[in-house]
Amino acid sequence: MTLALIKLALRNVLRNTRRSGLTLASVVIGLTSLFFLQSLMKSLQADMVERANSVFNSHLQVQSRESTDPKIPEIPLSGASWIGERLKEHPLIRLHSKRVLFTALAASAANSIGTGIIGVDPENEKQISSIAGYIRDGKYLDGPRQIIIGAIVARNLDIRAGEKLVVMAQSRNGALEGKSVRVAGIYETGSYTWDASICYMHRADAQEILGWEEDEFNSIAIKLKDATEIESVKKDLEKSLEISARGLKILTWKDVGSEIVHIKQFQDSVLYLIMIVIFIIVALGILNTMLMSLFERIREFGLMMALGAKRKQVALLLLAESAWLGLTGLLWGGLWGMGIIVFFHFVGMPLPLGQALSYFLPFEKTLHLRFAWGNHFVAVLCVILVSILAGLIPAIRVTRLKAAEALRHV
Amino acid sequence: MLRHGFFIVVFAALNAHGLDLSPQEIVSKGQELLRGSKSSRARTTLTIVRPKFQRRLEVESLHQGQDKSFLAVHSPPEEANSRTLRLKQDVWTYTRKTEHPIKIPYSMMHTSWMGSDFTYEDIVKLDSLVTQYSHKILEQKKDPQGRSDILIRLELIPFEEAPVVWGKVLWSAVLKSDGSEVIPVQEEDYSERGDLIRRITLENIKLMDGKRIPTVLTCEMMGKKAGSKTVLEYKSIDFDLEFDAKTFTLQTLQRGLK
Repeated sequence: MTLALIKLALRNVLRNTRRSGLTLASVVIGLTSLFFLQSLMKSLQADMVERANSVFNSHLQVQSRESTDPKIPEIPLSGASWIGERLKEHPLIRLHSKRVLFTALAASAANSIGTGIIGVDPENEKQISSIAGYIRDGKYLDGPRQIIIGAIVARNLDIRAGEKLVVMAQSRNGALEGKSVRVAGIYETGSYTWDASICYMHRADAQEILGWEEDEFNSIAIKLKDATEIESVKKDLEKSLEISARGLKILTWKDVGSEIVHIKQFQDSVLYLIMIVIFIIVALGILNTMLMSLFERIREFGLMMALGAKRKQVALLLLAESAWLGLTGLLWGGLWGMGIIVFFHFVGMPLPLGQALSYFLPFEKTLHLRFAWGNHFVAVLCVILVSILAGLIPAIRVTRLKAAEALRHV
Repeated sequence: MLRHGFFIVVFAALNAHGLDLSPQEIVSKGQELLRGSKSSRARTTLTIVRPKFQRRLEVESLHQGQDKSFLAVHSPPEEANSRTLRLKQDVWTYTRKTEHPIKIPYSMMHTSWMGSDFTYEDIVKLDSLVTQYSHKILEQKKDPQGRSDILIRLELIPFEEAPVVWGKVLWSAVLKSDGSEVIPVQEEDYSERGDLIRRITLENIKLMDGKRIPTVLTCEMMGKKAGSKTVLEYKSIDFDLEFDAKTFTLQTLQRGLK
């Protein structure tokens, strides 16, 4: 019985191939573009998070509780060497890097500009952040009184690797402190924000400028062995570092890079909006097709009922026709969508948007798409739901037909 | 005869070494000249020349010791009552528009003062040429222009760790052979690469308040900023005055000089 119904529904769908084909196309194109968009957004987001974390945010950071700026915490951790020891004990922590962050004036003979300076232990920082990989001229930090600067800083200061730079900042006691350092290397990430404003120097030099002790720093960046363990390690550390008693706080990359989280949220809502619009259009397409075929075939349905078909069976027939359209569309749309994603996964797509984002972060100019299974699953569910809902209206209508009247319908 | 020759040699050596002053003392004395050893008060005009326009300010400047300065602009009218106070390393400005003293943050120390080619740091760090550099005499000869007895040219190389931006400074002055007078005549600032970045020329030596001083000071930018210069001309200067205790305070900055 059911099999016969499904077969009959298929035959009805195939009766008008042009109309069914067009409806099918709307489902296929809708789903394909949705798969593509979802993958694009999610790949973009994943790339963005990965890069932001590898350049600066890291997985976790330990900062003073009183600091309000998570990027450049204004209150240093003092007497904080013990934290490093404690961090080494945790099995899931790969390594940590102590950072001294401050804003300073970098001056060369030709010019001077304001910069953000990150004082680091070069060897640790090299493993925790990707900045060493972007060095274009010269070399990474390998001795005291050295600095690495961005390409745009170098251009604005008219300075080359090996030359002298004076870093000036306000020290703890309020005096203007200056220190001359040599440019070890010049890095180029392609990101304006980094290349035009961030410099790296030795932590000890930074502490000397600021008048800080050896065990004072703004932040400790932590890299985990497994990025999925962030929340659980955070909980462990909150306990083992006695954060409330010691006036500390532990921030995840989401806290430090909150703008990234906001960009993600914005993109996600846009994505949902697009999805809703696409499915409304698809639903109207299917509904239109179904209603037209219903009105065309009123006499046919009357005949079926006169021959003993129950109202429920006729309604199910219409639902099955709608389901045929929906499921075929689902199959083709899904295949096309996955095909496009796989294609751009290997080939990579040039991305003007990447350049826009790279204003804030180092970003590749091509994006390699990956599957966003969670979102794809939602899209698939929506196709099924829409094709059923769109079939439901004509199905309900058909149950209201009276066999005798329907037979005489012109 | 031998004795005589010996004296000639010793005398020549002394002369070549440069009088009773060390090169460092010469620079120190030269830098001190326009500020006065104790204090000074001067009326100047400041002409700022840019490739596309030119501006003239009347500025009154007061200095006391090494670390107190006060600058007040008297004209043009739209900039009158702009004032700058420096106490040691801190600099505040006041303009009529803000009606409140603003402390210049360290990040702006290298920005220009009143749109000129002088920076706030030039106002603050007057003694760095003395303390942050090693001094070597390049040349010493009779002053061809007759401004004083000797023209001396020094090469100043910053100490490796000195927080100064220049790679080399060439500094010249004319001085009396007994060292009683040192008048700086030129300062040339070079980058480490050896490019001339800025040249300060001091000319037109006149007698003012009992001292001979260069009355026209020209600061010329080279390289990328070529075509820009600032000319500071002294109209009058008085040395070693006693200033009121309130002169170098934020209060005076806000209210203006009497």
